[in-house]
Amino acid sequence: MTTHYRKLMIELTRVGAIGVALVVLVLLVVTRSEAAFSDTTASAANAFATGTVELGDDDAGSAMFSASGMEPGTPVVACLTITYSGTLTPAGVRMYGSTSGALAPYLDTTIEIGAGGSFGDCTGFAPASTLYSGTLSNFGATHANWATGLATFTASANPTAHTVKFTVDVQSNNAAQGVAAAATFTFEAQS
Amino acid sequence: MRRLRNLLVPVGLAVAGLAIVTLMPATEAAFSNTTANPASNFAAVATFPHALFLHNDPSPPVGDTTSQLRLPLDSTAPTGTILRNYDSERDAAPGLVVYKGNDGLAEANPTKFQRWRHVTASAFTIDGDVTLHLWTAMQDFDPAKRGAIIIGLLDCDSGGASCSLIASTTFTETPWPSSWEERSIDLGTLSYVVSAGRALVIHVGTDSLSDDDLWFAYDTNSFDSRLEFS
Repeated sequence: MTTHYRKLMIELTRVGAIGVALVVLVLLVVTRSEAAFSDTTASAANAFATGTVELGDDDAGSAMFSASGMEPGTPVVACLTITYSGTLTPAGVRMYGSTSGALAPYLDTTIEIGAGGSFGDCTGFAPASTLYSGTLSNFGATHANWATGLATFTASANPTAHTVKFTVDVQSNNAAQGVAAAATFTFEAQS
Repeated sequence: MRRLRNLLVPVGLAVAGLAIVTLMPATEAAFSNTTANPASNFAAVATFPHALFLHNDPSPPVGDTTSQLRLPLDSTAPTGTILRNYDSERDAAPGLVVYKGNDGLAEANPTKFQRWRHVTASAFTIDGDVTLHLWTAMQDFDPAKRGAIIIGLLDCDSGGASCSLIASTTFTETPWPSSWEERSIDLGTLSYVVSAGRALVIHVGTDSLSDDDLWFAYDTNSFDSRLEFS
């Protein structure tokens, strides 16, 4: 009994010593990590503003083509002026689209970029390069989004405008008779 | 050793993930903007412009032949270079002579009209202007005579009988050409479907108003008489 009591006392003394040591340690750390003195300095109110990426066209909400009665050898033509007016430069502008309809595989389509001309009137258009030459359906299949879009131009100044000319002719293929197609052309700018 | 490995693997993964998260924004555009033209629409005519050429039989012609009641009419452009005599029993002149008739499209005398026939393998749709381009001259290239022809476009059975009239016209000119010349004769704007297995027939007769018999030339690359649809 006496031996057991002595062991218990020794154990309690050891635990008590450890506890006291920990309390002392915490107090030392806390007091040592506090600054004795402090001071601050602040920068004046900082301002942040984003640049812009703005792209527009001159179609005023009208479709380029509403072509009925198409026949081989009589192409339809339309122009569209694309203007970059964002503050962030340079900005790349790409073109892509979607197509549908049984006529789309039989519509030979040429897309040129240049200067001059405007929506509804290609008079004065001077091509700088050909962006695409192939069928309308192939255009939609291969250029469906930004990632696969056709590089049209890079805007290095604000504003930057280019005219895109579309020429569409139906192939002399009897399968193209009496059918129709639709297409949407989208231009996207990214900084 | 195992403890070291257990420590390094999670640390490595964490560093890799942090690098991906840090680098990804650099490959994305900061800002973007689009402009789209509203949907454009395209529609083709029901029937493209095309032609059916007037031929002799055989075609291309390789020599003179006697006249034939019905001749072929098809989309193959003539390749012959020499205008042969297509009615050696009537005269010795190149081309075909059609004698002056009296009964218009009802003419029964085969020397007073000629028919060309196109048997359709599938339905043949006519939707637009129909024009007969015909090379012709007054008989013996006689000048200062009035010429008149009657044209009929017919829907017949494959043998050329049981015909329905689709369109017709009479064409008169004074003087009629005294050398081979092409005339374009308008048959109007038509909307008609010739059923599969039937025949589209063009009837050319010399009308009673003509001063004399008329000559016709076809089935050579120079005299490419044809029925044109546009």
